[in-house]
Amino acid sequence: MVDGVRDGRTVEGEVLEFEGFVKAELAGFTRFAGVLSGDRQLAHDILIDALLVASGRWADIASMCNPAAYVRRIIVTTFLADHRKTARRRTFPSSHSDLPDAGRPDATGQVENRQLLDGLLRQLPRQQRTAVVLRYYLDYDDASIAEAMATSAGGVRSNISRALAALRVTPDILQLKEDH
Amino acid sequence: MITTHDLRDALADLERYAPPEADVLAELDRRRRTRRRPPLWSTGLLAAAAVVAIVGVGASAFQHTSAPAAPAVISPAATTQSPATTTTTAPSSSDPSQIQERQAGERSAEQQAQQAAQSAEKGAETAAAQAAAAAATCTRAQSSPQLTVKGHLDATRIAKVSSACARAYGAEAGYTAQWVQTTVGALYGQVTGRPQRGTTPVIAVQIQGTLTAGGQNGDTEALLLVLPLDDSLPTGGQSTGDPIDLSALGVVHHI
Repeated sequence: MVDGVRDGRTVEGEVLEFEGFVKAELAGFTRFAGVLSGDRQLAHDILIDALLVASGRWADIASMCNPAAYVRRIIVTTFLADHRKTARRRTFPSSHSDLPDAGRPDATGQVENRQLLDGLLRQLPRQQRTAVVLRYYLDYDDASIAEAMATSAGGVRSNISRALAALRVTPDILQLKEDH
Repeated sequence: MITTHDLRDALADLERYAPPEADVLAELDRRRRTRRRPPLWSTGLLAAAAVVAIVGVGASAFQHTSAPAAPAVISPAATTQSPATTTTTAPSSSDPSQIQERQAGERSAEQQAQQAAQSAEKGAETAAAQAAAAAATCTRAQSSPQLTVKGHLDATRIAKVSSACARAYGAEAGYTAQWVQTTVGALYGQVTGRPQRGTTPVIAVQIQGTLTAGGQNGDTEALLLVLPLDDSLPTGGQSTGDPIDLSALGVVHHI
């Protein structure tokens, strides 16, 4: 905690410097970028780019009541833009069950569920993944997600609905249920 | 059955992909410093351009704010003026002599503003020319002598180059000059804050003080010269900006 920042919100009458703000909020930003991207290097890149953008607009951002929320919004837009730029050259590992010689996953623990969900989350379109992260990681409501993603509340609901449907009907999950 | 609780747990588990904070801070600091470090001549040119812009805006604002709120009345004498002046001519009196006097005053103010803008523009051109001249002088000083004598560095020749460049950039009395033998990679790694490749040996000379010539406005703290020891690198490497820590590169020699 530094002067001028309380839970990501500015405190009236205190001068909020960019360096102090970053030190106070960086831990949360790094975790958010990691969850959003699912890739440490990509998280590093988008976070740097987003913070550089924020530093350039800091005079305006510092006067906001919740600068941290605005910076998270920049992280989101940077992630979406970066994904668009690099989607064609970025490769992702396939899930274990896609490999012909892979054994079937052990369905007795939550670790396996998380691994499956991790893989399924990677397969989601970027808009759906972002909406899911904002809803179930940051507990944003529809309006906040819509603002962060520069879309409509209806679009947010649609993205989350499709994402949840994809996460639940994937063959891996059905296989899991059959194993039980 | 996968529940939203499982989904929340899975998302929280993805925090393992969070990049190290120290790496982010270091990279952010390096990128911000790189952005802030101005290229050669940029400080003087920016200052001159700002003066031109301010004078231009000031002249424009003077024209607009000189118009009173009353409806404009175009006098016969105003037909020879430019459209911009005509639209802002609003005499408060119908006395022809007063109208002409006011119009003469406005023309005079406009001419003064134009002269100020032209003067500032000339100032910018002069600053650019001074910067080019200083860079050329310093480059010549670097390219003239061989820095080694029978395979050994000649500190006297390094000092001569340093003095010539300090004079070219108008270093005020009391400036300090230091040099260190290093490699291109180590030097640019120190400048940029990120590891760089390059094993070509060079001499890095840093002049710290107030630089008042060559396009510098006295705010500059350091002039960095890169003197190659062979023909593999071009001469003339020089930049102004924040000082760097030469001691991190090797044994520092004071001039």
